[in-house]
Amino acid sequence: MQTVMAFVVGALYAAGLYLMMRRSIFKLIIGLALLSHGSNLFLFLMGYLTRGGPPITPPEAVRPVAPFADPLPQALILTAIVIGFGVQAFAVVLIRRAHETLGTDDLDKMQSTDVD
Amino acid sequence: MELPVVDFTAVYPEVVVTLVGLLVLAVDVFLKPERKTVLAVIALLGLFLALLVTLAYYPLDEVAFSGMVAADSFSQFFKLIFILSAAFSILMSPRYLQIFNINAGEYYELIMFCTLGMMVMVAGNDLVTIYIGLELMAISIYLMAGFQRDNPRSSEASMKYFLLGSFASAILLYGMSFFYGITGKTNLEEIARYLDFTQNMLNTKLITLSLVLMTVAFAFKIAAVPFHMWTPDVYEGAPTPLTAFMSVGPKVAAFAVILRVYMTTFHTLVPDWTQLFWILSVLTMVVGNVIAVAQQNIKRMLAYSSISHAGYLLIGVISAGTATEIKINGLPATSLVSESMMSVMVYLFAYMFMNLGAFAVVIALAKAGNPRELLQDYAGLARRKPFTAMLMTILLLSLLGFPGTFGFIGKFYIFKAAITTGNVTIAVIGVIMSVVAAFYYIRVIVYMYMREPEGEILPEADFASSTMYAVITTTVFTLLFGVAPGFIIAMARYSIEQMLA
Amino acid sequence: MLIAVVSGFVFSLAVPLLHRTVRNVTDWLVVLLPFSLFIYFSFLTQPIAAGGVLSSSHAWAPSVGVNLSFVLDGLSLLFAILISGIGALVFLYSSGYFKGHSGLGRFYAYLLIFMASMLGLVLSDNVIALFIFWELTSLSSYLLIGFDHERSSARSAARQALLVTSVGGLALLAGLLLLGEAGGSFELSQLLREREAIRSHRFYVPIVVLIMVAAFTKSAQFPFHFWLPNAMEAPAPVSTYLHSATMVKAGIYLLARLSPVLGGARIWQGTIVVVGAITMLIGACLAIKETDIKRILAYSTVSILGVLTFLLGLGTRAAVEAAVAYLFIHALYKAGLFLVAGIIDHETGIRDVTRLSGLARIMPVTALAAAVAGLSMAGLPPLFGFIGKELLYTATLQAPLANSILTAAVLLTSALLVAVAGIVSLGPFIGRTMTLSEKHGGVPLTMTAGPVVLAGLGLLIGLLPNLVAGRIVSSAVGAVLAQPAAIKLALLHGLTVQLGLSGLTFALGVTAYLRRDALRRAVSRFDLGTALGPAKGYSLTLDGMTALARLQTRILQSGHLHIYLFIILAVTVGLVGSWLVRYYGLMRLEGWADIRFYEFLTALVIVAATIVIVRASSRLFSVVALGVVGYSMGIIYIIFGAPDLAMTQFSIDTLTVILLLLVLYRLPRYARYSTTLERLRDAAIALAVGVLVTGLTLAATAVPPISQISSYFAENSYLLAKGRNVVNVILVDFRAFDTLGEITVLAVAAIGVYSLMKLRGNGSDG
Repeated sequence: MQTVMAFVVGALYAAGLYLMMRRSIFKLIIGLALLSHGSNLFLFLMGYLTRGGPPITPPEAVRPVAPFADPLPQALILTAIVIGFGVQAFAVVLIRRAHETLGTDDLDKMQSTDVD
Repeated sequence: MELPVVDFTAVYPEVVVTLVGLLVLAVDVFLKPERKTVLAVIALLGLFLALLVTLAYYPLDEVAFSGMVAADSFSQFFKLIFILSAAFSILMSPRYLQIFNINAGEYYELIMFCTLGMMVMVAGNDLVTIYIGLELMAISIYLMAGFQRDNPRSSEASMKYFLLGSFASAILLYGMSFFYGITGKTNLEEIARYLDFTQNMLNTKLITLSLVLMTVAFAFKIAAVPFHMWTPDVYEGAPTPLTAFMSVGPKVAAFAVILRVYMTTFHTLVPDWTQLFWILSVLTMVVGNVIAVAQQNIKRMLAYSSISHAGYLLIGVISAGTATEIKINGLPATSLVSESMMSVMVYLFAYMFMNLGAFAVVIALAKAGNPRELLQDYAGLARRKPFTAMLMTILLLSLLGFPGTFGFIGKFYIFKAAITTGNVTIAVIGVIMSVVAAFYYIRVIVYMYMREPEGEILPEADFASSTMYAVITTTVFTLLFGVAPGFIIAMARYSIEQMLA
Repeated sequence: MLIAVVSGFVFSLAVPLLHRTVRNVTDWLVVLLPFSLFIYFSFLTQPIAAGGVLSSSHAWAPSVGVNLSFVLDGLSLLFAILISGIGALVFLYSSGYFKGHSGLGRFYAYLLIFMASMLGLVLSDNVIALFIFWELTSLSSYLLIGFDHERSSARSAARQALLVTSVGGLALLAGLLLLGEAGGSFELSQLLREREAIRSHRFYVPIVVLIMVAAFTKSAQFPFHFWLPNAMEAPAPVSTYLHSATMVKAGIYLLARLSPVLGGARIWQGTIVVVGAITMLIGACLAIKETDIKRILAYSTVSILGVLTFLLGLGTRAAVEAAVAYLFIHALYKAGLFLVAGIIDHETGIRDVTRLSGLARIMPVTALAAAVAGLSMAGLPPLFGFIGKELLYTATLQAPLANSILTAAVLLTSALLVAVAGIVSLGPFIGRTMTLSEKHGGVPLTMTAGPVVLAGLGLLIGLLPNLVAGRIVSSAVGAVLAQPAAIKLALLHGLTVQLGLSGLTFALGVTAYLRRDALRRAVSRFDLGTALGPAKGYSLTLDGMTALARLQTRILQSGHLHIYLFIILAVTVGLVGSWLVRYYGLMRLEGWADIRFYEFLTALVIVAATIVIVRASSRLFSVVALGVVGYSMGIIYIIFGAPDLAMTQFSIDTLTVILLLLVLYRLPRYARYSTTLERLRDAAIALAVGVLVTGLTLAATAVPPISQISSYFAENSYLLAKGRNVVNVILVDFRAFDTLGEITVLAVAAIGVYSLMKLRGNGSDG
């Protein structure tokens, strides 16, 4: 299953980056979201896929019953998802504002910073 | 690993900066727009307190929060740089914000949080902690870059930086995850131990791949070519005090992380990363310096100059790397390693003063409706404002690495480190590129001293303005440490010895 | 000695203030300082000539390894005496030259900085300190050249001088660092002991090349000679002091100082001799071509500097003797002539020699001084210049290689210089008296004092050469050769070959002077310098650099975000890919058997939704598909034992979709901006990244799990933290610090969202 997932990660990255290279700014937001999905899934894969067994200690036990999934990547992904959402929300507002200020959604028109 | 004992002594500076940031946030709500300068005063006092706290506990040497935070004199050294650069940037701000009608109190909060992020980065003893620090720093800056609302360039700068920055963060995260997948570790010391003892060549090779990914992300943060393209656009578009701040803070923070992570954790992979940095360094010096020559806008010129400085700094990093492989009489050449690392740290300290100072001069000359950032605006400055012109001259000479200034001390040690560790080729390239740099720094001086002033003769800058305080202080330090750098050098040496011990 | 150097710097700080308050006293005070230094150094000639060496060391920054250590030996002393002595005269001269100029205080300050740096340069024993003073002389000379900068030519001259010499400065730094590395010390006195080690060191050739570049730029040697004549934009006192007597000789000093350490090898000797000889000839020819009196003097200085260089390159005893004597002689007569040129310019406003004539009646004292200095330059007895010429011929005749060619070259150069001497010191003063436009009030005494004293000294030493031979020249020669030398100078040696050559020189020179206009035309016709010369090279380099910069900007800095991203991606793929290829064979395609249908289906849904997003032409559609991707991710989390993640993913995903839908209609519609070609290009790179990422993932998942940390967490989360959900325990206990950071990140993002909304509000108001 890891092998299949590796291809999914690849697809998410490719699609995300392709969208980020588009000139229409709305596509950037979507691309960013796909990219963060890709990163999260990758991180998840790094902890090895274990079916079932969440890392939760059952009552009357002092440790989770094996086999259980690697808890650390999960904790890290939780962090990543939350940060990702923050960034996403911020991106939406930022892009909306850029659109308003600059009056275009064509990224190629946004190059006023260039001399020469 | 134990359950973390909450040990606040290790993070007092961070705590102070956070609390002051929150205080600014709270006070902001109750202030009228025209009284926002109060926030600058609060933030400055807070930073001063943080400075005192950092110095009061110097030197620390402990690992806190179950290994995630390294409170050592190395991180303290860099915390000093961050606190000072934040303080100088805040000093420059009120006048600029007033002129360009930016009345957001969030500005000061974000500088505080950004400083916090950088502090977490250098103190991070765990890949995840470093990542979080980096995100905190980056998001604050994305935001501040777009604060100049009447200037479309500002929004645009913010957006470009944000998009490319999030992409770099994604690569960093990918590299770190990769790392975890192979070693099952995120703590720097544990990774180092793993790399020291692993017999598994396959894994070592895989780790090299993740190292390449992480290097790309850091290269983006230090604006090394070819990951530099955002720099000129963003530096020019952002409000100038912020440009000053972000030309120093993130770059210094990224170099601090590079020194810590690459020298202590990835020291078994030296051949791989020195090779990578070698390419980056040469590209950075060549492209940065050559493009700077064509610039007519001072802010953009300073942007390219700050790109090229990353190239010189990388020479020091490379030297430190190669030094770990040098054996003198069969013994590791520890003094070469620490001297090379010291050269980078001293250069960064010098870079902070001179770069902030140069940007502060740009701000001091700005006036409402006309940012005065073009080279022509500097024509005849020596007649109109002899004192400001003199200070700018000193700062530019320091950036050039002229003897008697702090910049010279930095460059001297970098080149010396490169030569003593046998990296002669790159040292020579560095020297040649410094010659190119001489061309564009000197051109500004020529404009100031030898062109006829255009436009009306202005009175000398208002000395009382806080921007001028920033200019004067940075110049004084540039000269002071240029003549007597012993103190900074000793501090850097001590912290390296402590870290490598 | 520290005091000698530092006093100049300290005084320079006070001078502008002094000048403002007590103007008349200041003029005398600034003369007093170099004069007392001159007296001090003169008294030291006795102990130094007796073979003593004075040294003093002051720790400056011990941790840096840079000390302010000074050593005074014969060579330093010769320079120190010239610097302080001529300095005193130049200061005196300046007070007359700039009488009433408002910037005089500033001028004094620059000049004092220069003098102090120059003294520091020749007295330093530490090479890093030497370098620092070297750069300070460049900087102060820049300030001095640009002091009177009404003309734009003055500006570009100042910049050119600074650029050329700072190129040399950086070469010097690199060379000295290498030298320090090869010799194990930054102290010259130590390096002298390590000469064998240095000569056989692998850095030897780079050191020699770098040091030579430094010396040649500073001393205006071919092909860097062009900056010196252009620097003649400087006021006369500056040209006198910097461009004839002291600063341009710093390069000579460097070669002389280091020749005991580096000299002797073929590359050193050959290069220096050839460069020096070329410079000598070019300088003399170009001097004939010019008509501006200061530029003539400048080119003749270039020529003499070439002579000194090639003499030092030869390195024989006779050559060093000649070099030291000539250095001294040249300083005396050339400084005098520059001061005279300054007087002429100051009084008449004309610098063109073809328009100047008959000034002897207007300024007789000046004319006399000029004539004596000119005779010394021409090398006629009984002047010091004659002795120099004799020594010069002795050196070339005894040269170890190509002595006849060198002698011929020197003969030609000297003859041309005789003509030049006539042009500058005779021509303007004889002939029809010119009418001066302004009322002429006579040359002030302060200005005539310099030329008179210098010319007088030339005559005095010529008559009594042993006044300086034993005390100054011998010890300087001894220092360069690194062995004691006792030298006797005499005006006449009897009928020797040298005397014959001198006579021939003079005869040729007089002929050349009489036919100077024809000669000038002839040289101008053959002058390729302006078309192909180094000056052209300099401006071409500048233009080329600017053009290159523009080109790079256009390619790398298009301002287009997607181009930036494209480059970054391409480089990343290239870097990672090349490493991946190196370690080919890391990927494992295993575990195909271990696939369950619903899992595969979920994966397929994600990929399908992704494709939909990429192809979608409406915003709504892509947002919905994004939601599908998010929910499928959640399902995967559930399947593989991460219920917490799934829950978070579901809620966050819902929020994202709602957020996007809320702002959907306030955002621009989808539009196709790119051409098909661009799309293909982007798709190619994106696919490459996808393949790479897949490859990396496969490689990473091929590694067997070794996650001890995680099992540690599982073991201890209940026992230590009393929590049953290990993920939660990690977040709030073991990694609480990170979680705190994460919350802060969120808070900052929230501040961001808030302030962007608010700013927008403000914006619409105003």
